[in-house]
Amino acid sequence: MRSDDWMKAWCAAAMLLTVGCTRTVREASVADTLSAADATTELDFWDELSMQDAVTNHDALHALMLTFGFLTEDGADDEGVEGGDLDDAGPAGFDAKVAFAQQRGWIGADEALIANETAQVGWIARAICLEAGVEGGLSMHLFGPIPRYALRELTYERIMPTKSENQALSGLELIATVSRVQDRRTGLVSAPRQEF
Amino acid sequence: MMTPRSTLCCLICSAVCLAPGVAGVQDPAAPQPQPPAEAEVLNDQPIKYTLREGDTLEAIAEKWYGNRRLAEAIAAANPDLDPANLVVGAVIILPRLDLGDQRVRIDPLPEGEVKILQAVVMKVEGSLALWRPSAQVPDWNAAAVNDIIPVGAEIRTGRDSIITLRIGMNASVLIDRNSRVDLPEASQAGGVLKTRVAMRYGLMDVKVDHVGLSNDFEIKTPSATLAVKGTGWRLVWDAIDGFQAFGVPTNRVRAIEIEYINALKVALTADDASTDHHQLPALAAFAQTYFLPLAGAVTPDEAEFFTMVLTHGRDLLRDLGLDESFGREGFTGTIEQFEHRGGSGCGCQFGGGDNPKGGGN
Repeated sequence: MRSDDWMKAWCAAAMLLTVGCTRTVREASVADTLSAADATTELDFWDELSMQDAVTNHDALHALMLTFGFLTEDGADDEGVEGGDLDDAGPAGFDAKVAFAQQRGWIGADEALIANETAQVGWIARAICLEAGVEGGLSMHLFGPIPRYALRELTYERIMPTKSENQALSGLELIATVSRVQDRRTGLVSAPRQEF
Repeated sequence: MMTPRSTLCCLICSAVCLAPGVAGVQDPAAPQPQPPAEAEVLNDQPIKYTLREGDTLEAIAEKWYGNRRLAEAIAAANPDLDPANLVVGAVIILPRLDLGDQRVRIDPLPEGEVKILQAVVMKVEGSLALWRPSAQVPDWNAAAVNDIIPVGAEIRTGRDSIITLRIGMNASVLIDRNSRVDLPEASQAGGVLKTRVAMRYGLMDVKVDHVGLSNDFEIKTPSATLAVKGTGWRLVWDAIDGFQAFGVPTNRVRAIEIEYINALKVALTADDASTDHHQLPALAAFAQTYFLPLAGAVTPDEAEFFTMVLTHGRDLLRDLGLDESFGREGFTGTIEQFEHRGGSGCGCQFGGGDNPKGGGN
């Protein structure tokens, strides 16, 4: 193989790696407009989310806060939250959610999220492990629920699909995940599979 | 000692009051209820009904028993009656019901005839469940008990909401949390009950009863179609594992609609106010499946209470001022018991014969 061909091959590989690491920024998030905490808006949020082929950071934060009861209609959840109300629409609501997530340890204190960028599965898995009390195995006990191990544990427990921590979730995948988290917490465990 | 009229009130209350184990005591000084004006309810006697303009035996059977087929039983109880020539003002007998453990059989339709069925909301739990008649209708309705849901409707539930539907004549579906379900088809064509349920995602329990006709029941998911052949199933479709089906050792549909306790069949229904003044569609849906025109040893009080429940439902409860909770003691008998579960429901007492017991559980 000529050196030119090797160069082209290396450039193509580098491009592929770069593309794979680049997050997609979408035009808007479902939670930009459907962020109110009332029951009807919440149903609309889940319905719209189910039609998204990739979940944004704002949508993932909103979904997790709904799932773990951090968004309430009376606004009591906003106490102690810096910068705006959690259920505010648009950037103000997202900023408040990010601050809240940093307080809860879902993301690092110096970690920045872009609202409409596709969310990485890793931090979502970490947040679920922290809030749902998933302790995991030896690695998680030694190193804590870092995204990689948190995702491995949740994948093992069939709560999350098999993905790497940098990949994205579709709306249906996130709904399935939060549903399984709910089931795990409420004890709604399906019976062992039977042959029919 | 309670009067027979008070006994009747207790028995009626038990039909729509739900909440097992709720204790309470009936106030013997409470005003005694009045029977419905259109019929004379005689203690220890069958119900006497005065025919009115426009009455037919089928309409009377549907109103009083929730089942048009019981017109046969009415005709049998009135051998001198000509069903085709009913005389206004004539008094007929409405026979006592025997609620044995057999299911009613639904007659097939004539060849080529198709009847479009519908669904009834039996129970709603949690914060909010929504439905709309079709995808073309932009507005969603908050689901409430006794809502009539037409074919073509779309239903969705939230994180903590659960909705139970009675579909057509023989199927019950519990749509659990975070689900989106459509009802594209429910019909009877000749001797076949055809039902199609489309689950976009979520979790659902399904129970299909055998009512003497052929069942063509299918559930469609994005990745699989299930032809329901058994009686109780739990189905899940999500984006992680796709389609899954499970057996039903803890079938919540069974627990909500029918529960077998010591070989007695217990029917559970909802306690919200009916949208129909004269009849609870949910109860009527149940009655269409389980009431039978069989003769048998049923006490007059039992027959009266079932009849009046079907006719008046919660309106009767309100009129009678029976909104207190009653305790329920063990009831021995061969009839079906109704046990109502709900936040404000009551578990009412069954008495033995003319001496119902007071007190609570």
